[in-house]
Amino acid sequence: MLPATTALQASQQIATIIERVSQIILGKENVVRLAVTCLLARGHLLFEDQPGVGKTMLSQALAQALGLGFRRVQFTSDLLPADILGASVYDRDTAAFHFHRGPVFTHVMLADEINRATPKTQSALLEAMEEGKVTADGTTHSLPEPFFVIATQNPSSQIGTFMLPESQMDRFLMRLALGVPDRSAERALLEGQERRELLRTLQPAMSFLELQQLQTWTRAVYAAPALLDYLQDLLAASRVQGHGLSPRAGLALLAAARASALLNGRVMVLPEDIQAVAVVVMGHRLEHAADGMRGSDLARQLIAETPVP
Amino acid sequence: MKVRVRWNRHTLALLAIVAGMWYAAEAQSNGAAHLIALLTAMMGLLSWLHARANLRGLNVRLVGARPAAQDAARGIPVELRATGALPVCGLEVFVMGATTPVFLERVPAGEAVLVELPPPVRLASGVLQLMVRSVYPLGLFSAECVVETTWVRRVHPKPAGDLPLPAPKASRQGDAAAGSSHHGHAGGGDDFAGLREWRAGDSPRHINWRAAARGGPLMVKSWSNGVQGVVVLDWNNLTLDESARAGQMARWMEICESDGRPYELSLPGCIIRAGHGPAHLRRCLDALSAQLSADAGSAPSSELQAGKADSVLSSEQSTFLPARPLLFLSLALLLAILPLRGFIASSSLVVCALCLVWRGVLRMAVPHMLIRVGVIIAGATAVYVDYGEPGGMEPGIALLLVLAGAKMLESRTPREFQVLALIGWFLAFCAVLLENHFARSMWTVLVVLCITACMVRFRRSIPGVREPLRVTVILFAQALPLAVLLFFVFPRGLLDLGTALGRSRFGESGIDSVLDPGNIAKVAKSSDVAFRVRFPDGILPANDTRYWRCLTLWHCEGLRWTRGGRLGSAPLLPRPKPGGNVRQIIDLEAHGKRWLPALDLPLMARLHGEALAPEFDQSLVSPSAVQNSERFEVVSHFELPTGHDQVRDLPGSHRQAALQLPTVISPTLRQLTDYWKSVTQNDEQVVQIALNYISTQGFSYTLEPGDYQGPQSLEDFFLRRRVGFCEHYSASFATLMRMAGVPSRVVVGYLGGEFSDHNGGYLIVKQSDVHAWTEVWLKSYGWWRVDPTAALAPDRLNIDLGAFLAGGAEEAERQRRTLWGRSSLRLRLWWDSVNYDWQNQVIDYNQESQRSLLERVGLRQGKLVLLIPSIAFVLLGALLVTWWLRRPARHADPWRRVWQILCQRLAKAGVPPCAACEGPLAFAERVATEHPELAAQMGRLAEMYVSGRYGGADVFAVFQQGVHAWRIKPRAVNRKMADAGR
Repeated sequence: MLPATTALQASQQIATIIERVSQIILGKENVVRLAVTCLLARGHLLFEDQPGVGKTMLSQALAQALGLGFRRVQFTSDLLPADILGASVYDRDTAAFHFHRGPVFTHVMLADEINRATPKTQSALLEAMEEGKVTADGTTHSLPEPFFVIATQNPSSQIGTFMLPESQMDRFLMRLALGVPDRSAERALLEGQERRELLRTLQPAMSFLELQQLQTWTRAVYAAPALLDYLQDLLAASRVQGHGLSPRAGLALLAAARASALLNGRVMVLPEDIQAVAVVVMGHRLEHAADGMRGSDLARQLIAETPVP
Repeated sequence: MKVRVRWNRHTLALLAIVAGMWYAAEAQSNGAAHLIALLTAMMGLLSWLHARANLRGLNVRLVGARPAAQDAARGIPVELRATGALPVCGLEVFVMGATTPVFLERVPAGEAVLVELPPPVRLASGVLQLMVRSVYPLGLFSAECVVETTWVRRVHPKPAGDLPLPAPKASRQGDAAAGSSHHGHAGGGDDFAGLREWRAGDSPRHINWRAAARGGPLMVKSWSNGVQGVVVLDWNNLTLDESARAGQMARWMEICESDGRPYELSLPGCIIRAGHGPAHLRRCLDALSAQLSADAGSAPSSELQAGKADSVLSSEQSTFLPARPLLFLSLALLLAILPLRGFIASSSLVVCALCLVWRGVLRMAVPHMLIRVGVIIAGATAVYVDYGEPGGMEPGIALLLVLAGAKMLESRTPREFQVLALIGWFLAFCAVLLENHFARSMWTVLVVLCITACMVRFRRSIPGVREPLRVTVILFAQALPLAVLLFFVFPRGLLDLGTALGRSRFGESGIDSVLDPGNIAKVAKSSDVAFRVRFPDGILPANDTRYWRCLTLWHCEGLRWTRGGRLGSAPLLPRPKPGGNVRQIIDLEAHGKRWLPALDLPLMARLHGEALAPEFDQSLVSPSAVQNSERFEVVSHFELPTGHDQVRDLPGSHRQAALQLPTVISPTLRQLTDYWKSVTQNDEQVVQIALNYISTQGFSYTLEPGDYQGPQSLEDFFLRRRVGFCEHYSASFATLMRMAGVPSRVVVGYLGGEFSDHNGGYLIVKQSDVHAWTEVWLKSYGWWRVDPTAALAPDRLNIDLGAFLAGGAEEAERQRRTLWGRSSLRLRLWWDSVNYDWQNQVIDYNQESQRSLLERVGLRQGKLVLLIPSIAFVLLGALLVTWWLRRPARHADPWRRVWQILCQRLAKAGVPPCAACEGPLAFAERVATEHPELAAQMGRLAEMYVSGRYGGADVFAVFQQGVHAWRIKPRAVNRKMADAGR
């Protein structure tokens, strides 16, 4: 089991990251915490929000604060899979095909407006996310470690888009929504420095090796049988009417809860950790079962109704 | 959840049965019957408590998604959780407005069960209410509770109907502009109105091919023809009924949506302005469903308020019969009526048994009503024929048997079988009224338990006998102590019944007042106990003086003797000497006649507190027929007269009666007696010579001497066959004495008795000890006992009849030496002492016993004062049982148990309880913010709990200690809350 000092040290490091990023994104500390939790749990993030609330800014700030490489791809309806993964190009000099790596070969990739692309392009990206490598012309090129995809989609504009189906939304660990900042935060935003300037001067809080160390520690956080009972009760409650959460969802929930526990400086997962991440982890997976409600509302209801054993 | 327990017809039936049992017990003054009545009443009371507690520990809630609008046919998932320590059994759950309930066999303790309820048919929309019902455990009470939910279920009406769309109103153009942004009929108009996604059925001409070529999706250009008219959908314009109207309007809305027309909805309660699009559609559908529920809601809402939902068919009324429970019930009822054989006329027993077998064992269908009526009439006729008059106990029981059989034939549903089970209780009770043995009472209790188990089995649906038996045993174990306490304390004799409810017909055993050849032998075949005798003075009469005098017979007809007429006053007996008297306390079993046994010669007796003097013939007669077991005290003088006292002469009337002879005498016998008279000088010698004659002339003694009939029977016996039983010997001896001029009479009674060590030592006299002997009048002795059997077989005095006939004294002695003989003897004596105790302590426990109990405690008031401790006991018992039933579930996890104790302590101190979904740290934080003085300790304990339960640290002992040691002061907390509130 993780020693307590390690957990404390980890939580301090994570606190630094959150504090740095919160200087850029004002008034949204909760969202930043959840985003960092997602990264610690080695999951991919989905932002579903209206345009202009700072999704790109947040992704860039995260990447920078963690000392990770950042690439941004703007998805359009005519984007091809090769535009993301890379293509083999014939080099006349060497008379051979060279694989030119696409933007996916980076640490943090921001896939902006993922719902604009055709399903073929979406699935190419999702496949790369899942496998962690790209195969082209018979050769396999692995993606760098750690690898994150932060995707965004705008829920309200339905016309001319290909919304991600639930089976593919499942691949994202969390679905977050930033929302508009409150009045004082917005005031600070308006009065303060230009965000891009701040972003340029943002110092990384750790290297990617340290991040990998944090991720290893996250996996080592202890989950007691009593806690797994609670987790399984939640999963069973969602499966009452028809199919609810899948085992992948359970694993995702546990991983996110572990990250949340480490963030709070604990060596074991508590029901509070699960409750803290549950809505964002379960919300997008429950859209089909929600039957008229929003998935996140159903998730909240499940939490409220399932007793802690 | 508020649980209401309602009584139904079966409750009334139970009350009636208990009242009937108590009445019968009071009338017969039978303690065992009182006990059974109290046991039944207590079981009924406890089933009320169990029914209440059954539903109390249940938590019902809706689970799953609760969408704003739902499909009408979708089931409603509900979770039922048993929060107490006992499982919840036998539930019926349904949604108010549905037609069929879901039957739930059992919710295990501490666990939850998920059921999907059929959706309501009538109340499709509106606030959802659930109803949980149960008639567990015995079906005598029905508990129900209504569960309110906060879910307002809305069902959108399905589009249906073929009426054409009303024409759009062109005059409403101003409103049309508001909603014209999205509509677009693909074909009409020439104003470009934007792109929309291609749907199947759109013409390919309108597809935006440029965008499609670039890889985009297929989009269709839409055109509008400017301002369009608005379609007004008016509720009141339609003439259909509500649901059809709603369906038609939904269909119109669908058409408008697909056409792209704006539409406006006009309902009696609201008007929704023109619009278009999915949001508008949803609003209109919501309004429609609200309209539907408002219209349909008036009638059923009153039903909701009343909380009754009797229209839902309960599983109690289903006609599906499970095979096994029915078989068990029939067998239990057959067991109940089995002991009545021998007391009730067999015709009604046979009718009842046939009906039970027909329906229960063979599982035939319910016969036609004519057959059923025919059975009742046939049975009633048989009862009338057998008994003659409808009053009395046995005819009543026989009629009840016939009715029970008829009820069995016509029962179809579990509810009707319940009535039959209650009748079965009463029939089992009747056996106790008829017989007083301890074994019979135990049999009755066992049969009552079997029937109760059948009643439980009918309320549940798992096969097998373990569960019903377990429930029955629990009920019995809780009811028995209460019943025993009330047995001692509940006031008897409240009803002050004058007449005793006796048995009108007794078994064939028992002495008759006619001595016919053969009828004593018949009595001797039975081994029932006739009476038991205790000797309080400690004097035990010797074997040869254990003659128990019951009747004297005066009228001679040869071998047949009868009582004869009552004669005048008795001759004075010799003055009783101080010694030679023995006091006996006799417990006599009921025999329906008036004679009382006493040790020869009774001087005086005391029955029911009143002195009783012997009759003219020195036998004791009771003022009324002995229909119940009686206890009385006798003082007897057992030494034979010595001949030295002054004896008065026999009065003339007595002498005349004592010398009466039959009209026809055999001349040979006359010769014989004349010869005897001639060779002797006085009466004693006549007696002696006659005895010598019997002992030397080859007479033998057997229980089966064959038939002696006719006027020649005496001669036949005495001169020719010479094989007989004590009756023959005593009758012939007395006749011959009369012929020889010696006044004589026959005495019928008992001889001997088995001594038992238990209960301080007492004698058991059985029917097989019945005996007949003679008495002759000798001048200086008075009536002198002469036993011809003793002359013939002196061993008979020492051992009882069975042993005597088996092989004599040596054989009996040898038997007693063997192990088998000894142990069977000991067992027999012990069993008799158990019966004796049962008779004394339980059956004879009546008003006087209660009064003496009261006096021992020191109270002298009337019997009504006993009601106070009775009610107190009942309340105490009910409280104890309720406390046991309502105990909360113990968590299997020890951590959780201690945490629960902590939460309970905090709740008692005024802290709002921990919510089910609240984690420990969150709860601790809440407590810390609301009650800062508890924050430090609470935080420590929460840390320990968390690190132990979720972290695997070994701090359980410290945690437990900390929780138990923490004394939270409620007053400090409350004052703080009051201060905060002000």
